[in-house]
Order: sequence, then C-alpha cells, then structure tokens
Amino acid sequence: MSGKPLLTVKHLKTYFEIPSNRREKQYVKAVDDVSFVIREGEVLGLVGESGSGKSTIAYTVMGMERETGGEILLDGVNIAGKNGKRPRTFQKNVQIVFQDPGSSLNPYRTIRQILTLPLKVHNIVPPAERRDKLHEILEMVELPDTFLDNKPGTMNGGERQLVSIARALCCEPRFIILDEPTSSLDVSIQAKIINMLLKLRNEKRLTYLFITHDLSLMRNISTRVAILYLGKMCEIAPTETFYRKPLHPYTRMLLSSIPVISEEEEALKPEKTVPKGEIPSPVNIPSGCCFHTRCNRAMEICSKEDPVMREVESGHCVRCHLFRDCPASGQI
Amino acid sequence: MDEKLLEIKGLKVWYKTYRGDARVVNGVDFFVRKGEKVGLVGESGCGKTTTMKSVIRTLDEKAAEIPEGEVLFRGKDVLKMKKPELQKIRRHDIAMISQSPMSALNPVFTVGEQIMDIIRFQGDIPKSKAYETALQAVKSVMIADPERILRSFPNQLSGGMCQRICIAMALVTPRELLIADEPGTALDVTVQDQIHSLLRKLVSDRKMSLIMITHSLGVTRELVDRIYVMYAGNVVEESPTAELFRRPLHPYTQGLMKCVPRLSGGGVSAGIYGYIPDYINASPGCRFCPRCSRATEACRTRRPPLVSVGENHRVACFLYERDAGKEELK
Amino acid sequence: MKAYWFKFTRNKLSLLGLAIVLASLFFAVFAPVVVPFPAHIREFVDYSQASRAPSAAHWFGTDIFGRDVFSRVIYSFRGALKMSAIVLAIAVPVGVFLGLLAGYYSGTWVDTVIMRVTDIFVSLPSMVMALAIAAVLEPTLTNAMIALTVTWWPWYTRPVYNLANAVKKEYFVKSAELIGASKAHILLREILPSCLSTIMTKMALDVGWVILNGAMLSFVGLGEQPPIPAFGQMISDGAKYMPNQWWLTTFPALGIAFVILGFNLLGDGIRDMFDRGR
Repeated sequence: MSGKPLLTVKHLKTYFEIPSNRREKQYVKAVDDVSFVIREGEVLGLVGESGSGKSTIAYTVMGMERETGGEILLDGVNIAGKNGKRPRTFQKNVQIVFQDPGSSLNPYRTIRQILTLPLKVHNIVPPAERRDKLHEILEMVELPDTFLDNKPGTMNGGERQLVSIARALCCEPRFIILDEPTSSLDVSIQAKIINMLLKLRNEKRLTYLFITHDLSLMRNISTRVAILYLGKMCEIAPTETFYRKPLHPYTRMLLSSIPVISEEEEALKPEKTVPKGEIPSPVNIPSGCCFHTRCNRAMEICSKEDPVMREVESGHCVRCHLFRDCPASGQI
Repeated sequence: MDEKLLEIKGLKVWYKTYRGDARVVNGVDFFVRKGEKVGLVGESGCGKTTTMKSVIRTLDEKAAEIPEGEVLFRGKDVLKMKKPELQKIRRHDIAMISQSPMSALNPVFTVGEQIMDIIRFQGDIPKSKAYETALQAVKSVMIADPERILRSFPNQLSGGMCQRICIAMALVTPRELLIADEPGTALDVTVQDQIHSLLRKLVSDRKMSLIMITHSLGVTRELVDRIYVMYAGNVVEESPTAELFRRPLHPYTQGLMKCVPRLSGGGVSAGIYGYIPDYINASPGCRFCPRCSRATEACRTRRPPLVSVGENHRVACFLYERDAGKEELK
Repeated sequence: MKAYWFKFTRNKLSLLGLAIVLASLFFAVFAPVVVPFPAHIREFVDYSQASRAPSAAHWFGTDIFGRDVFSRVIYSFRGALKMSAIVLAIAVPVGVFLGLLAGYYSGTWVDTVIMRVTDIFVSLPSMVMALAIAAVLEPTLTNAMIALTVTWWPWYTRPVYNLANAVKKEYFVKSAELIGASKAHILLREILPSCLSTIMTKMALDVGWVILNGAMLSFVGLGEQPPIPAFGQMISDGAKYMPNQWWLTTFPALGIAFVILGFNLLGDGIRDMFDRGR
C-alpha cells in the first residue's frame, strides 16, 4: 500500500435511538461495526445507496454524530469517546466538504469572511499576511479574487463548492472528507471539480475519503473502494480490482444497474441482475446477512448468520457466505 | 406511426425579472410521434423543464411570458386553448410526473384517496368502481400488497414507492403522452433502474409516447429512441439514440460526453470551459460560442439553425453547415 | 442593495409608510424648533385664547389653557418615539441574546431555564405588569419605559429561539463548529444574521405597539408628566370635554394612528424586502 495509516476506524457503531412504545429500545443502526484504515496519500471511496451509512460514517468521524461504539484513531491516537469533541489538531488536519453547496456557506457572509474564519481560528498566518493567503487559496481553486467580496447567493453551485473546498484548504489539512461533493451539480461542472480535487491531492499531498453513490465517478477518483449496505461494509478492494472482479452480490447488482454511455463500458458491467425489491427500512434490518432478502444467490445460512469480513486476495475483502472458505481478515 | 403527436415550433419563453427578461427558452423545435420515446437532455438551467411545462401550461402566467411559438398537440395549438379544452387535455391526454415524488403527493391524504380523486375527476364514477380502478393501477406498477399501499400515507412509503404511485396516478386513465421529468433523480440507482424498466414496459404495453427529461446521457441511452440535446434555451443536436452516441457532432454534446465519468476508468475530463450564459443580456449569436474551442466569427453574430447531417440527425452549428449543404446536393 | 429597494418599493404602501416614519422622526427630533408655538409646551396660560376650535392661527385649536394643540401634538411625537427607541434598544438585545442562547443550547438546562423564565414573563399581561411597576415607582416617563421594557423582551426570545434552533442545524453552522470557531462567533456571526430579517420586521411593527402601550400608560397618568405633552395624556385630559371640544382628543388620537400606521406599513415593507420569494 501507500504511506502510513492516517485514519483508522475500528468496529465503529453509530446507532440512533428511535422513540418507540415497546419495552426494549429500538435503534436505527446507521453504522454497524465498520472498520477500515486510510493511509496517507490514498483516496478511499465509500459507495452505497440510501441507508448505507456512508454519510453517517463521515459525520461520526468528524464528531458531528456521537459514536455508539468503536474507535477512531488519528495517527494512532484514539479521538473517539469524548462526546463528539475533537482535539485542536484534528480540527485543523481533518476537514469536510458537504454535499449541498446551498447550505454549506452562510448566505449572509462574504467569501472573504468565510475563508478568514479558519485562518483566524487556527492562526495559520499572522493578520498582515491574510490577504496574500486568501489570494493563494483562491488561486488553488481557480477562482478570481473578485469573488472575495461576494456573498454565496451570487454564485452558482459549482463555484460555491469550490469555495467550500477552498475553506477546507485554509487550514492546510492533511485529510479531507468529501461527502458527495458533486452530486447536486451538473456533469460538466462535476468534471471540473473532480479534476481540481485530483490536482490538489497531488500538489498538497492530501488524503481523501470520498463518498458518493455514483459508481462511474468513483472509478475515476479513488484508489480503493468500499461498498456499504445498511450500515455494514460488504466489500473493499483496490479500485481496479473492485471494478474488474466484483465479488459481493450487492456490488455486482449495483454495477449492473448503472447507466453507461458506451458499448465498451456496457461490456465491463457484470451480467444484469434485476434488482429485487427495495432497500429495507433501517429500522427493520433483515436477520442474518442484511442483504439476503434481495440477493440472487442467497443460501439457507444467509438468513441465519451474519457473515464476517474475509480476505479473498491481498487487499480484497468480502463479507459474504459465498466466500466462507477464505480466511477472516484482520485489520484491513 | 409517423404522425406527430406533439409538435413544438419556435417556442420562446421569457421570465420577467427586475433586471429584464430572461430568455430561458429561445426558439425550440421539438416533436414526438405516436408511440415514440424521446429524450430531452441538458444541464440545469437549459430550459428543458420550462419547455415541457409550457406544453401543459403549468408555468406561472404572471412570471413567464410566451412571446412566440406554437405547441401543437394533435394539430391544435395548446397555447391558444381555452381553459375547458386545456383541462380536458390535462385529464385525458397528457400526464407529467415530476422529479420529487415525495412532494408531488399530498401528505394529508392516503395514497388511495388521491388516486381515487383523479379517477373521479373523469366523471361520475361510483366510489367502489373507483377503488377497483385504483387497485388495478397500483398493481400495474408492480407494487406488491396494493391494498395496504392504498391505505398508506405518502410519508410512510419510500421514494421509489412514491414514484411508482405517481406513475400509477399518471396512467390511471389511458393517456397518449407521458412527460417524465427526471423521474429517477431523487432515487437510488437500483430503484431508478426499476422505475426506468417499468416506464419502458408501460409505455410499450399501452402504446404511449414518452418524453423523458433528464440530465443524464446514460439514462437516455437505455430508455429512448431519439434524443434532443438542449443548451441554454436552444436545441443544439437532435438524433436517434445510437447515432448520437456513435457520432456526437455539436461541440457541446461532445464536451458533455467527455465529462461523463467512464466505468472503464481513465480519469475525468477537464470539463467544459466557461459558464452558462446570461439569459437576460443574451448574445444574438450561438449561445455556446464563448465556451466553444472551435468558434468562428459567424458564431458570435448569428444563431446557427438546425441543419440536417444524416438520417434524422440535425445539428445547430455552423461547422456543419457546409457538410449539410453537401448532403443535400448528393 | 438595489434588489432590496426593488422589493421594498413594489408595494406603494411601504413607501407611504416610509414617508410617514420619516415625517414622524422629523417631528420628534426637530419639534422644539419647528412647532409654531414652542412656549406652549411648557407652563403657559393664555385664557384669552382658550378652547378655540381649529382655525388658521391654531390648526388643531387650543386647549382649556390656551395652548396650541398642534404644537403639543407634534411635540408628543418626541416622547413617543423616544420611548420606543429606548424600550426596544434594551428589550430587543436582551430578548434576542437569550433566544440565541436557548436555541443553540436547546435540550440542555440553558434552554430549560431561559425558556421557562420567558414563558413566565410572556404569560404576564403586559399592561397590568406595566401598571403595577409604574404604580410602585414614581409616575415618570423613565419608569413607564422601564415597565414596558421588562414586559417586552420575552416576545423576542421565543421567535429567535425557534430560528436559532433551526439555523444551528444548517451545514454552514456545523462547518464553523467543526473548524473550531468560538461559541460567540457562532451565535453572533453565523446564526444571528439569519434571524435579523425577522427581528427587524418585528421591531418596525413594535415601534407602533410601544407607542400605543405608552399612550395607554400616559392615558392613566403614568408617563410623561404635565406640562410636557404626551398622546395618551392629551386624550385623557380632553376626554372630559367631548364632544364639544372634539379637537382636544381627536388630533392626539390621529397622531397615534398616524405614527402606528406609518410603522406598520414600513414593517410590511421590510418583511417584503427580506422575502426570498420570486
């Protein structure tokens, strides 16, 4: 693999209590025992449909949601368990870019004010040098200086996302979580932003956790991909392997459903699996393997026992009874 | 089969703003034949939804003005119709389903009540018969346990389920034309896939015409026979599906195709340089000109007309005017 | 800025409101200089001119002491607007600040304490409270202002509480929190701006309400003391002489109506200005 582990997530659980009349408490298990390691320089992609927990993982790591169990390690130091409060170093080194450009920027503040906040809080540069620093950051995201005195309302979605990215870069972070940063943007603007992100990653030696539901996009930005279903990780593999040799039935189902625009891509898709049914409600997760109700290869054991993550080949792990002969994986 | 069910000629729609008139739809020609499936592709702001809304006239008449154009449904101009005739078309002939199924349904009434309301708008239909029809409609969109669904409220159903209900509501009476405005956008990919298959099946079973509005080229490739590509209020390219993907001609279409991330990998293109133009102070020339790497002087001053470059394949670009001339000479 | 003005002026009535408010402010500030009979504001008696109906010399007539009613009505604007300004200048920041705190920390003890105190104050009938306070203290303009301020602040706390509670969930607030901004910054710079449109609209409308409440207090003698004129005081004094000397009550009443109308129309205009509609 690449560099040393930057962010490690061990057996992370985030459950939300829902009010119920029954005696036992009812939970939505948004994230249910997820573990992964992100190394320096990587782009780990989290892919999944609604209810998969991919955004919740991001929010839990950032401290926006309180974890119910498990550890979150930054550079080997566990930062979980403190009621969502994150140390100063974390606040500087780990940043997040949200999906909705409309609500990620305060409509009543100018871009200058928005970008100066992180500079001030973390004392990145002394006040005298702030103007130059702002210019430098806007240059990185290819926005003109004239934008500094504008408010977000005068900008379009793509520009606002670039400002969100610029804000993340202000703190000179090492790690950025991107939660569906381009999902609400047109494909031509998306292309520009993705290119920007890849360029920045190379220039600034950044590590990304990239979340999206768009598998085609994921193919082009990530170095490793993990797929989630109802709060559990189903498969994780280096990108090329993930797309060439998808193993988990859910992965194959998802890959076979995506619309593509060329014959050659069509040929790359696994054989068409008609998606059966719909994603169950996260309150009523099926017994055993949570996917068995929609799986075209479900066996008897699937409704009874929840499979564990097994390493099929180096770096490629699957959580499925079809591979129960493979060795269980340790930390990925 | 060749008869044009809906034909839009030279449609212009202007939104009134305090800075002036935003010329959102700038002379659009469009048609759908009986039984045909047509896709209208474009990015946000290009005017595709506005164009379709003007077909059933759901645009706010105070804010939007239609200075020019005809919308001919079965030969009669919808824009000039009086209310009763327009209502008849909305009830019997054309249906439109929208992007967000959750907000298209009234949260205060059960799904069954809403479907039956639509049925009973048709005329004096007794409640029991309306219930039977509603049940049939829900079954036709492949919903298991239809009785329970009819008793449910929209917020108890998932997005995919709501979208199916919207489709059922649209098709509860036989229609000639279904306009689907990005029906899968708010849904997961697997559910979107199911909805598209459903649409395909229903449209072919009932021999309806379908207009699919979307921003996704991949979706149109799977679903429709012919594609219109719109940019900034104009149709820039019009072609049968396979031909468009084999030979995209307009610089915008080509740019768009390059921007779509490929399953085969290979990185992402640099996007299309520039921004969507200002609709208020619109240039008289080709609206894509500032972003086009192959723009000529003519592009700045005149709007290129749609010229034929092949079998049913037309492009609005001066680059092909010469070739089109050659085609006609042959 | 232009967009705001455009939205504000779409309704012509808002412009009328603005004109009335500007006129009222003008009267309030320049009354001592502008009124035709400045001496009539203080102790002044001229029985030869007493109880005259409106005429060319005295547009609103004279009262039983011979004082020019017009000058006294114009001068009343001063006290009325002063009262509004001071009551709101204190009540609004206090109410807004508590609302922000309670809304941001909703669900915690901060929320409970602040909102329960607010609930208590809101449930007190303001007139009764004001009368009680004004009765315990001496009847002066200052004490009337204190009485109104004490009962006024809670009406800002609840709307701001609701707004703060909603706005804190927005991603831009979460961003600021994640960056590590101080709580003061988050409350004042991130959340408060979103509340301003509601607050300002309410303030414009409240000016009218404070004036009305102030007039009610001065009607029963708790406010500006004679000989300084106040709207309610003049109405009360003149009530005995209705309907013969109708000008003694009618013009002060019209004065109140005038200024309240102006601020209401202005308030509507402000609300339209901030409306993120079409």
